[in-house]
Formats: sequence, C-alpha cells, structure tokens
Amino acid sequence: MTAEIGKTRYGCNLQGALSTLEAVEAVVPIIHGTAGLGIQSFAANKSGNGIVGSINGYSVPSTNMYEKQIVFGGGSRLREQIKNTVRVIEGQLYVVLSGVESEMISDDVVAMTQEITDQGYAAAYYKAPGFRGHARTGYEEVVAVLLDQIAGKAPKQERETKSVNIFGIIPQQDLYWQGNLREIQRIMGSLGVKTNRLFGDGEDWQSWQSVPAAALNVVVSKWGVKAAENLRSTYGTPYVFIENPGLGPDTDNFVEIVGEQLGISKNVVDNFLYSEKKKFDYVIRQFAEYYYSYDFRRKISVIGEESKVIRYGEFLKKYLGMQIKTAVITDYEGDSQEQQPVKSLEKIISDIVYSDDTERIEEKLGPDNEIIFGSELEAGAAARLNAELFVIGNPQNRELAVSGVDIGYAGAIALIEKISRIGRGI
Amino acid sequence: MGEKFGRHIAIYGKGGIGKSTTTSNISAALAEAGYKVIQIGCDPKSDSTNTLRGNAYLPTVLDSMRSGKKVHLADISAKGYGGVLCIESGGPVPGVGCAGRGINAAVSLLQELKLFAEYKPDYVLYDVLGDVVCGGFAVPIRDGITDRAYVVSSSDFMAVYAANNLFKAISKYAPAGGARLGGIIGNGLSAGYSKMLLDDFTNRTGTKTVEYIPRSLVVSQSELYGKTVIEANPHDKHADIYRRLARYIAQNDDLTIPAPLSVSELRDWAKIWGDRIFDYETGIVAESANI
Repeated sequence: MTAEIGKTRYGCNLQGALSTLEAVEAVVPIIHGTAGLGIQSFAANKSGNGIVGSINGYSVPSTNMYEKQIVFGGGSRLREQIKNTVRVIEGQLYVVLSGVESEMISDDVVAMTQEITDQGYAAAYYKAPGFRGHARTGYEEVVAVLLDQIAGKAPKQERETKSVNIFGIIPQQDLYWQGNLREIQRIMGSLGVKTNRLFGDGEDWQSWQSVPAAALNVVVSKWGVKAAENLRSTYGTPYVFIENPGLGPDTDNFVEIVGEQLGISKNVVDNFLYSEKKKFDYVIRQFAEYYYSYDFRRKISVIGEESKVIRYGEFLKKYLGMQIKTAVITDYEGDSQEQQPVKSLEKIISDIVYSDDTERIEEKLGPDNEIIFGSELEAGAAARLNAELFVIGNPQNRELAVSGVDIGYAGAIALIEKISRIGRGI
Repeated sequence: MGEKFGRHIAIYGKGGIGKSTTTSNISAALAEAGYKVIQIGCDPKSDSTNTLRGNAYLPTVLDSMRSGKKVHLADISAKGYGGVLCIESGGPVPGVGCAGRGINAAVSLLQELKLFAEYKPDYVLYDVLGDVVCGGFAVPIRDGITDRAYVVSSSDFMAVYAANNLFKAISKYAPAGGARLGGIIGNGLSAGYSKMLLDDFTNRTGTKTVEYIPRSLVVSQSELYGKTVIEANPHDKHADIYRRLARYIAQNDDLTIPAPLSVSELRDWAKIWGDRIFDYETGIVAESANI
C-alpha cells in the first residue's frame, strides 16, 4: 500500500545518525552528500532540542557534492574532505555519513574511510541515505557502528559488577533525552550503580570504551534493543528491556528489575523507592487543590513514540484520573494497518492507532478530547477540537529542553508542575 | 524547451548492435542530401561520431564540465562529413559516478548553450547507449527533447529484449508528451529467418520494421577507415540502403506507442522462435510458419 504522508514527524536516517554522533564529544561526523544535508538536521534540532556537541550545525564537515561529483563520482572529493578534516579537527573517532546522492551513485565510502584508518586514525563509516529509514533507525544503526568500533579495540578491562549502559534514548530526537538520561543516572546512583549515559555532557569516545565493562545494559525503548543484543552476543553482557521505565510510582518496577539483575540488596532498593515515593506524595498533596479546583479528570489523547505513549498513558490514567480516548503510536515499523497492539496499553485504552501522518492522526482524534498530549504538529487538531495542546514530544519550538525530564520520579514531579497550568488559560 | 529547431530523433539499441554506425550513416546521408544535421552521442564510450570525423579527438561535453571552466560550443563540437555537427556527451569512468545523470547533465548543458538556436539544424540525431537501464538513459525520449525514437536491432534475442525495454520506456513516457516510436531498424541481418523474426516481433508489439540492413563487409571496411559507408563507398548498395533509410526517417510521421511484451510473453515468444529456427535450418516447413 502506498500513500502520501502529510507532515511526517521524523527526520531522515542521516539526521538520526548525525544527531546521535553529535552527542558524543570528540566523535567527528563527516557528511558525504549535497549541500544542506547537515544544515537541515541542525535547523530541525534548533527548534528546541538543544544543539549539542562541539561539532554540530555549520561546523560539521561536509563534501557538499554538486553535479560534477554526481556524474563522475564523489570518491576523490570525499578523500579530500576526510584528509582536511583530520588536519583541522582533532577527534578521537571520525565517522563518515554518506547521504542519498552518494549512495545512489555508490561512491566507494568504504575505501575512502579505509585510507585514513590505514594512516592510523580511528575512523568508521555509516551509509545513511535518507530513504533507507528514519531518524530512529539512524540512531539504531549508527550505535551499531560505534559498538563495532569498540569490538576488539577497547582496552581489556574487568567487568564492573555495579555499572550499566543506557540504550534507547535518542539524542536530540527525543525531547527530554538529556534530562531523562540524567534521571536514570540519578536513580542508579542512589542504588550505588555507575551509569554510562554515553550521550550528552561529559560523555565522549572514552566513555564508549567502557561499554563492555558494564554488568548490565538497560534498554528503555525498542530502538535500543539491537545494541543490547549486539553486546550480549559480543561480550555476554545481559540486558533488560523495560519499555516503560515509568513516571512516578510506575518507576518502581523498573528500579526493582534493574536492582535485582545487578544483585542490589532489596533493602537498598526499597529504601530508595520509599524516599522517592514520599517526595512524590508531598508534591501530589500540593497539587490536590489544583486538581479539584480545575478538575483534571479530563478526556485526553496521547500521541508519540510507543515507549512515551505507554509511560504517559499509564501515569495520566492511574495517578491523575484522566480518561484516554485515543493513543497514537508514531514510531512503528512496516504497515500501520498490520501492527500488533501493545499489550500493556490495551489494558488502559481500547483505541490504539498507528500512524505518523499528522493529517490521519487529526482525523482519528474524536470531538470530545479536552487535552491533546502530543507534538507541535497536533496544534491544528487541538485548535479544531477546542482542546488544549500539551507538548510532550518533538517537533516543538516552545522551549529549549536542556534539563526537562519526563521519566522517573523527577519526571512525574516536573510533569505535575507543568500540568498544573492546564485549564486556566495560561 | 522554447522554440524547437529541427526534427529531433533518438536512436536506441543494445550495445554493439550497430547504433553508431547506423546513426552516422543516416547523418551522412541527410547531410549529403543538403540538410543541416547535428549528431549527439549519448554514451560514456563517446565514439558515436567517430566515423563522421575520421576518428579525430573530440572533447566530450562532460569532459568540459569536469574541467570546471566555462564551456563553449566550439570546444565540444566538431564538423564532420558533409558539415554534420558532431557532439559527444561523454561520461564517467566505468564503475564510478552516474552515467545516467551524465546524459541528463550533458543534454541540459547543450540547451543552456543554446546549441539548437545557434546552429538551427534541420535534423538532430541522438545516439543513445544500449539498454534503458535507468531514468537518465530515458532523458532523450522525455521532457520533449525528441519526439520520435527508432531502435536498432538484430534478430538476436538480447537485441530484441533491449528493444522491448525501450518500448516499455516509450509507452510509459509517450502519453505525457515523450517521444513515440518510428520503428525498428533491422541491422546485421544475415540468417534467413532474421526478417521474419523481427517482423513477427513488430506485429506483436504494434510496431514496424522500417529498414532491413544486411550484414556487409563494406560497412566493416568503411568503419576501419574511420568513415561512413556514404563517404567511403558512396556507390555501394549499402550506401543506398542508408540513403533510403535516411529519407524514410526524414519524412516519416507515422509514429506509434508500442505495446511491449511482458517478461513471460517475451520468453514464450523466444521459445517459439527457438523451435522455428531449428525447423527452418533442418528444412521442416510448418504450415503456419509462413516461410
């Protein structure tokens, strides 16, 4: 089945890969494609995701191919760009990303990358034509490239029994990626567990060298499963895939599973969760007045990535008594008509739609919705339904999300603070 | 494209089938008859117009583009036999880049240089690389560049297969203003059944064979001299065949949209001819074979 997609919400394969690489300090992406490829990604991320890394936006090296290189091949232009990049940008790893045009003409990206590897530089390539996937597959696959670079090359190290790597949170694509990685790190830290966030401030290529030393890989969305599978087969590292790491008390399940896997004493886990719950209750009591004054038992719809829809859906229904009319999952693969509904979601909602087409999503939202939890793309639908729009995902341009969080207890408290504005026209 | 100057004709066919030889002889015959002719070779091999120019070196359009300097018509064209203006689009080294895009870029550049407005030709012949493997090779029959195409084919299955592929491209683009088919030019026909095989194929695809050019040493000899038959052996009967073909192509307005065979139809058709050829060679005359 083919259909035109109206206002799709995800960037291309290359954008996902580039956004991922930019979030690792000292990793230098080199784009092999036509002018504007990197800038489009930059412009999209600039709308509110935070522009991270020292090599980003205008400073990403690019071959800026033009017609001559398309007709005669762009291999030598890429060689030139790689050679100049290693001269002027000091990096711990260089990753060549080839875009649509260079892949259409099958430029020999492999040989060009090999040339600098032969000269002693750490370098890799990822064939990232936009038509081969979207931003999420770009993350998934470029992470595989990075892991492949560690395999057999990282210094031999003892496994640390209380350390984890986090996978499944996509840098610069997930709205609160920085805050969420930090919240998981905070939770783990409270259990005495060291966390390799791998992306964001202070995380560089050296951080990736210690990936094999972790005792457990923690996966919080389906986009991190392949990385964890890869590490299990390469290093025998076990992993847990918890698609709903939770908001507020829903976090307990996540913490208990990880704690058990790492052999953390039950006392330590329980004590931590008890103190978190106490803080949460303190906030809920303050919120109660607002809750009853402005009646938060609203009819809502939640639109976003699968893991986010589950997390928000469960929290909003269980703790705020909201009634979910429709859940729309936007990051599915394959045909939208052939998706198997997520079991945990089925318990809380009967109407689950799979679509990343803004117009189709709008058609699916019923007239009795009072709040739409989605992205800026739902602004039209919210206006038409005379509902409030509560932005929980990209694209959005309302805030620079550097410390925002929507995971764990911190996420629940931040969400309640924000949600308290609802219903008062501010 | 703006004002159209002259009649623009594309000539396709499988590699090595004699497209360039045929096209060059048509150009030479048209020039001999007093017409202003341009022949544009659309093949990375860039040897389409060799026999019109005595094998002299001619920089290709894409070579000039590659140099990055401003391109002038004089740098990329040469007058050959009878004043035929010869141009080669050129292309990348084999295995690198995109030859299809190269043809597209070369044709665009020729338009930018106002080649046709400057030269005001009566006929422009595009000699296009073998099989229509991707969009780039269909450029000459799209976008209103030519309004008619001919395909050179022998009676070999792979040549007919390439012709059928071109039919597919024509039937796809013609309804939107692309070129229509003038017909098949049978070339290098030596076997007794060759004509019949081609005629049977044209019957099935709603097209026609416009000329039958038998295999000949004269053609090979002229080519070795770096000349067309028209120039090297003007009194040979083959020169007359080319003159007749050139006259036909110059005047013919009977253009069709072919009905290409599907892959399985083509395979089944080939099998039938496999049997017929054997019967023919062994002297068995089938009732329906019309031999």
